[in-house]
Amino acid sequence: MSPAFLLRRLFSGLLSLAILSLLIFACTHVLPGDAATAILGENATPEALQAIRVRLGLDRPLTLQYAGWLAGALRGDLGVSATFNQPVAEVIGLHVANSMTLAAITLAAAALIAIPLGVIAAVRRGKALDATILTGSYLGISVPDFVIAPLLILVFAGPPLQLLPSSGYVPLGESSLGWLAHIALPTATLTLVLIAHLMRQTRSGMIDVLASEYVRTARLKGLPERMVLLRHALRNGLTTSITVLALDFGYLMGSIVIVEEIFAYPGLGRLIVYAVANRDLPLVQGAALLIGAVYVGANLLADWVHGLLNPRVAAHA
Amino acid sequence: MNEPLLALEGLSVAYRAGAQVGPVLRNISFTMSRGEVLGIVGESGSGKSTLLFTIVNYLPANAMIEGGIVRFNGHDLLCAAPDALRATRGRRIAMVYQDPATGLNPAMRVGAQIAEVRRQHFAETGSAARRRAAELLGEVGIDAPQRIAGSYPHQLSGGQQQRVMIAMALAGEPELVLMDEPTTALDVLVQARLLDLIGDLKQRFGLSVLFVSHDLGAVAAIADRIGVLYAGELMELGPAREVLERPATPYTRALIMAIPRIDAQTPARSISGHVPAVARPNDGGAPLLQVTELSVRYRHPRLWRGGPSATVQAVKRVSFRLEREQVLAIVGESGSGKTTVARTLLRLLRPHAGTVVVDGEDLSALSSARLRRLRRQVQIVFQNPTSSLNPRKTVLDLVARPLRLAGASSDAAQADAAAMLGAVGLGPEFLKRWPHQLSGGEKQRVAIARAFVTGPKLVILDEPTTSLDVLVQAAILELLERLKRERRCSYLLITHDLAVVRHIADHVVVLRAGEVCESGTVAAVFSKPRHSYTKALLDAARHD
Amino acid sequence: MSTAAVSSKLRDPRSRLGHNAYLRIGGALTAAVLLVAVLGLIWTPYAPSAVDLLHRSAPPAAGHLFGTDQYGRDVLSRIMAGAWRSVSLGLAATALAAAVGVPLGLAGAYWRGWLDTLMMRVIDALLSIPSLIFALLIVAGLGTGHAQAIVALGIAAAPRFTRVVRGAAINAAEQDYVTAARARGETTLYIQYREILPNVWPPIVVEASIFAGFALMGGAALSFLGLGTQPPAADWGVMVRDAQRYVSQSWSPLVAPAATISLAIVGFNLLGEGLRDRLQLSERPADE
Repeated sequence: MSPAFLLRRLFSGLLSLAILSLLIFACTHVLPGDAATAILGENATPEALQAIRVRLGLDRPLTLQYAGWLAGALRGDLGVSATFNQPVAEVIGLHVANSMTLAAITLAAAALIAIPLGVIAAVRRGKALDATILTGSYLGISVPDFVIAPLLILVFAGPPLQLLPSSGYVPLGESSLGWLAHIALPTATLTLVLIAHLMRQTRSGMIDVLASEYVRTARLKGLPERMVLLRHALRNGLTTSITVLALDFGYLMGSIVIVEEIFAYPGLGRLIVYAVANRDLPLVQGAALLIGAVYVGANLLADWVHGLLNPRVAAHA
Repeated sequence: MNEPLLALEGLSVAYRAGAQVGPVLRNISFTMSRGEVLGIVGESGSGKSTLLFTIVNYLPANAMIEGGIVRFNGHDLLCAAPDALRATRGRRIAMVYQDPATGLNPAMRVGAQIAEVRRQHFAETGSAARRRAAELLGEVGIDAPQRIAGSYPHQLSGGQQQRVMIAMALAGEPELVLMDEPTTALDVLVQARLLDLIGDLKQRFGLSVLFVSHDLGAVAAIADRIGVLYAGELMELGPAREVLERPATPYTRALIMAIPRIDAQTPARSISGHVPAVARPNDGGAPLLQVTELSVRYRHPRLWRGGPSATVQAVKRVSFRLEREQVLAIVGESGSGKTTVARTLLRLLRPHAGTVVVDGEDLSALSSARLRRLRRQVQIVFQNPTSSLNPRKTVLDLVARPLRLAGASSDAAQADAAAMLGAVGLGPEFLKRWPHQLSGGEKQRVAIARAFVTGPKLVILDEPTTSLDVLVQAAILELLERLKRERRCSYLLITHDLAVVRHIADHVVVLRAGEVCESGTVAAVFSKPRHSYTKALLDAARHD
Repeated sequence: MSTAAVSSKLRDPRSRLGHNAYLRIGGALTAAVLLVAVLGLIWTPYAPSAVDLLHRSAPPAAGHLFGTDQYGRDVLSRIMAGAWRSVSLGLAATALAAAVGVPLGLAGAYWRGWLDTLMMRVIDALLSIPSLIFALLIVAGLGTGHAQAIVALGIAAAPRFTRVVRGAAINAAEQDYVTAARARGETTLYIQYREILPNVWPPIVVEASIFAGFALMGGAALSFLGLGTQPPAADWGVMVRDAQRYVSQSWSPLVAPAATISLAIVGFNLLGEGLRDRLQLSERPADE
């Protein structure tokens, strides 16, 4: 893989982020709806509104506001949260690790469960096992996270089992068992949400690969089926899974918002819901920008692995 | 050892689609002996690929072998156990397919893909197998075998990829190689070199080859015996010379006659009574089309699918003229710029420099109203009628649309369109049909009707017969000749097929890498080509 | 027979029966959901906000098919009454996404060039933010509420819609019939909407159907987070949110709307999948 390929991807990732920053800024500033009114309420005096606008810099031209915000963001200064009265970067810093832990465990669990199942379904295509896996994944896609989570709570946290806590968080440093107990249901929910899609995509990617002419070539070379699968099909099929995994990461970030809210889990998702509900715009901007950046990073990583697995991609992308 | 290498006895195969069963091969019997090249010719749908895949017992789940035996070295392959089949595939019977680009694993170096055969069937170690792979690449005429062995398929040209496929087939030291249209996806010159290679390998290794193709010319070039497959039946099988010179069935005869041949000694059927090569004197008027010093540049690569992916693709200082009621052929391989020229004439592309004058009007200086009028005068027939007819419009709508655009009333346009369709041999029953209900030849007739319905003076024919079956090609060429006579228009023929040029063109321009390398009357260029590239093209075409 | 034809036969398609089953089940579910949504506007078994303190958190029984919630309100009646809000949100957001995505996608596919490249870059960037977060951003700008949720979800989905339309249209735009239309001097509007669009509406319809399910889910999620429909108005998301806190007292107020949401999503999804298979089947030329 050429460094040029990686540089190109890196450049396009940065470009995405730049456009994204513009969008985030536009959503929170250009759309009708006044941050000052949002903070002080409908009954605030015009003088008070004006004062807060000046304090937040809302009286300046939009381009200047954007330039100021972006320049700050590049330095790691995302402004001051209107509700916490703390720098946004600090507030986010307190929450982001918790969310990333959820995401990492979920992605690992989903990949370990879904990819093998998808491959098996593709290989045993049309058989009973395939049908079972397909049907299961169909249900998984259609049942939303905010339905799965309460049901899991109903079963595992409610009477009579009461195995796991239904909400809250214990840091790993305090009690590793407590940490595990609190993180079990959120990650289970997220994994259930994710595996269905990943499994289906892996299956259809593998099916395409298994129907490809180069797999036929391999079979007509007289290779045993195991070798055809391991050496020719899997490597190409996995490229699909990896791309899907990176795309699913975005979906996962959406689900994390809901799951954190349900389980009262102190992460970035819950923070952003709080910020939106209270119209803490600097906090919304900062959190959204961070989520976008993480997602862009995940896609870069996927491109890199993809390029390793399939040199043609690196040559043509 | 009197046993034939391969014997098919009464083989019948059918495909199941839903509740229906469609026979693909009917009662096929033949034998092949060692060291023989057997060529099977058939049009698309004749079952020739199925024949090859049945021999290696690799058929899709919905295929049914309804009867017959495939005996290879005396063993019945259709009843062989999986292990025995694996030991045969790649080792005793190897295969080469039409499209090497998809047949090679994109994620594996080609050397490793060849070495794999050695490791599997000869239990060679990695380094020995890799050494052998490089040797094999040398055998099939690859220049730097070590370097190519370390390449991925996408880094190779189509010709190189096909040589890799052949090396991979040879790696098992097979007794029989099955080739499924191995040259079809390649350019003319590459095709000719590949056919040479196959003939050469047969000599050196005593290979037996079962070569299947739609291209009778290619088959005739290398086969010892020729079989003709039609609608799943083997119509005829015999020594190549005998089949070509004394075809036993009318179908084979039609097939041979229909190939427009490049050497004037054996004229194709439709040439009789036609003097193609002499430029007719003109009435002294201005030429219909005058292209001067035309240069075209692309800023965007891959403007259309299969287009060039290079950064800049150009036509450089191309000049030619086309007199009224004459046919000018622009000849070149893919990437030579011939399609670019056509698009510029239609003003789909803007020239970077140079002028195009059509019927006395400079194309680049036209007002939009006059451009619209001119567009009625210049029409195009594309290579692939499936792509050029919108699948969501009926035949009548397709042909009537240019008239409607020109301002005709709906009734008048429909009446004229119906008349035009009649003129290309499509009766009223076709009017309400959709394109997918038509055969390839019928689609091309609709496309021709659409081009002629506005009474154009110049029709651009962009490889008008290339995507059609041989018999249909001849009929379409005849139709085009008739329309030209009746409607007194001119053709700009864009093609890579010199035989077609010979058939209908008066003048020819040979394009290479965007530049004119030779031009003149067809007779002059064909009998005394001055440029070495033209000679190579002609030689490649005579190979057939 | 060409190699391509053999390989397409190697991909043995699922039986036609399967496609029709998708279409039938999906169509029936979707129709049922729409029917309930309309019916809920004019009639419900009980008044949806009628409080019955004597029958609080009652399990499903003959009188209350889905039981009652913590205030004794009939769960079935509330589901029916909330159906219109939930379903109309999904459909309206889809219409908005299509209204933005179809013209942009067609234009991009037809013109290509730098404008298209720029558009795709912007879309890539927009897709790099999860659509729920995107919707949250818009809600942060517009404020909470039903109409705001529609706009947020519709706009958030527009990039994806544009991409689907463009992806489908690019293939059509490269066909020679488009070149032929340009060569005979058709207007760009004619080419985009009369030559290209008829060939790409199947994927658009499929995408719209599947997206309607996702928009319904997204709308419910926003309501669930307290950012969509505002109480006292209730849709299915609000019902799940309310019921969640009282799940230890009774499960039916949670499970009934949750199951309804899931069924509706399954319906739209299956309808989309069934349409996809069906449309592609009839698309296929007869000679393949």
